[in-house]
Amino acid sequence: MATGLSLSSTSNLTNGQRIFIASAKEAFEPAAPDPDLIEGERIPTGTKQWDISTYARLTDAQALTEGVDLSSVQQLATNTLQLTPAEHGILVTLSNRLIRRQGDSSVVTVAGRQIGSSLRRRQAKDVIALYDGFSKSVVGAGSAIDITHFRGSAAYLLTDNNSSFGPAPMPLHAALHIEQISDIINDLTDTSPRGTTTGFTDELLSRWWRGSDRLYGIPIFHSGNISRDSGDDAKGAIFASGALYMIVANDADVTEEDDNSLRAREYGIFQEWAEGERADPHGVEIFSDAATTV
Amino acid sequence: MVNQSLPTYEGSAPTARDRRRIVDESGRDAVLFDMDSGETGKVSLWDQVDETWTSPFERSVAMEHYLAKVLYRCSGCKETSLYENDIERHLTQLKSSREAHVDAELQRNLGENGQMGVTCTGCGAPLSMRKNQGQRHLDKINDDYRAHAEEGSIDVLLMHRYTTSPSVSMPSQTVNTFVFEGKEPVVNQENRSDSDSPARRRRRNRRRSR
Repeated sequence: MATGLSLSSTSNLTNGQRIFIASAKEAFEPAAPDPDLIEGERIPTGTKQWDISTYARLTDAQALTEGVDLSSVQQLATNTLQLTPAEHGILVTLSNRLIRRQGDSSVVTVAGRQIGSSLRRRQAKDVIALYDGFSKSVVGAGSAIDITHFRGSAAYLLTDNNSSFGPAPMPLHAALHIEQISDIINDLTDTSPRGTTTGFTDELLSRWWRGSDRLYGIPIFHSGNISRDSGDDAKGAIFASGALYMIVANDADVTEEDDNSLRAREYGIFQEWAEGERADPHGVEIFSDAATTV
Repeated sequence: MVNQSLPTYEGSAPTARDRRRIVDESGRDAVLFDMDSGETGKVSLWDQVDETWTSPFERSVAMEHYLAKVLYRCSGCKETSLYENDIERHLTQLKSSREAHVDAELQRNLGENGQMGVTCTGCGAPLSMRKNQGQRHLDKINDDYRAHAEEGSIDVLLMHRYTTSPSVSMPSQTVNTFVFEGKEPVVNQENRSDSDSPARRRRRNRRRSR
């Protein structure tokens, strides 16, 4: 017989010790509000393309003189955006053995949730890509956004700059990287210029920015899928909802297909959509520093 | 529980038969296939203003809409607009802002709740003591003006915003040229400092009022 103290790891004693498997956690999916901030339409069955026309405004009516014929007539003109939906989707193939071993209630549910999130993320990124297309861009690389940029952008959008589109109609929305929102919070909680710590300043100091919070009446949404570029700058935007359009051809189509010879099951989710810019003057790109504060 | 190291297949979208082969050959229980058919038909463009790549656009939209997009740009900086007047206004503002801030000082003041702040005497903007915001406000006005003044003449360019690559040269047209007078107003660096004590500034103000 061996002599000495018996430890938890002595000889084969570990073989009798249980391992508790906790329920698996999933990587947190960032907020993807972008597709909900823009105008959306559903393309009917039997149609391949969606054209959206915008009538330009006519010139001002003229003062007339009695008895003098108004000889010039104004012509209607439109700007047209053409959108042709494209397919998007994601597949997960799970072997029957994996499903058996992991338990159907776990791995299949997780796979379903993950592919759903993935499709939504794709949709959000497609909308985010359009922010870069707005011709008006403020702040600039390496500089932090402040509330003056925000106020100026709102005023720019509401100015009647362009007879083809007119001023941007309310409501306006903003979708920004969280570091851009942090810069705005920094500006709002900087008490010294205004000499007050009450109201919104106080609220922001005691909590964080919420989706329902507004600056100059414009809700600012944290768009979790806006990425930083190599220079630590990010591209968000302030825009009227009708500046951008998304056309969807169908609801998300969830599929499940057995492959018996492979002993696997294929789970997929598919949707057809297209997105585009209808009115360039109705949006402002916010291209600003999004480097980490700490 | 999903395997943390679940591999994602990258490449062109495989057929169902290919997917089966890839799963077999991988020796894994599961393989993720990203079947975004739209991605294959997408293209990133080079933004000539930001000097960054865009996120991928639909190829047809990129070619027909974004590559055709033109805007006005100030040749002295990255200010752009859809409208020529905006660039002219930008240049006018640079000049007027500079003129208003030639003798600008940062005056210290005490807020309602006892916080110290500064006010720019050039434009009356209340500014924070933090992060040297007042000095940066004056520096920015000065630097922006100087950058344009050093150029001498500033062109308003009508240019394409996007190209397919940074090496692709797109034609641009000079629609207007503004001459910035080379002679710069001299700024008194002492007056611009926010480190002066409020007492010294008050004495100076009294002498002026006599």
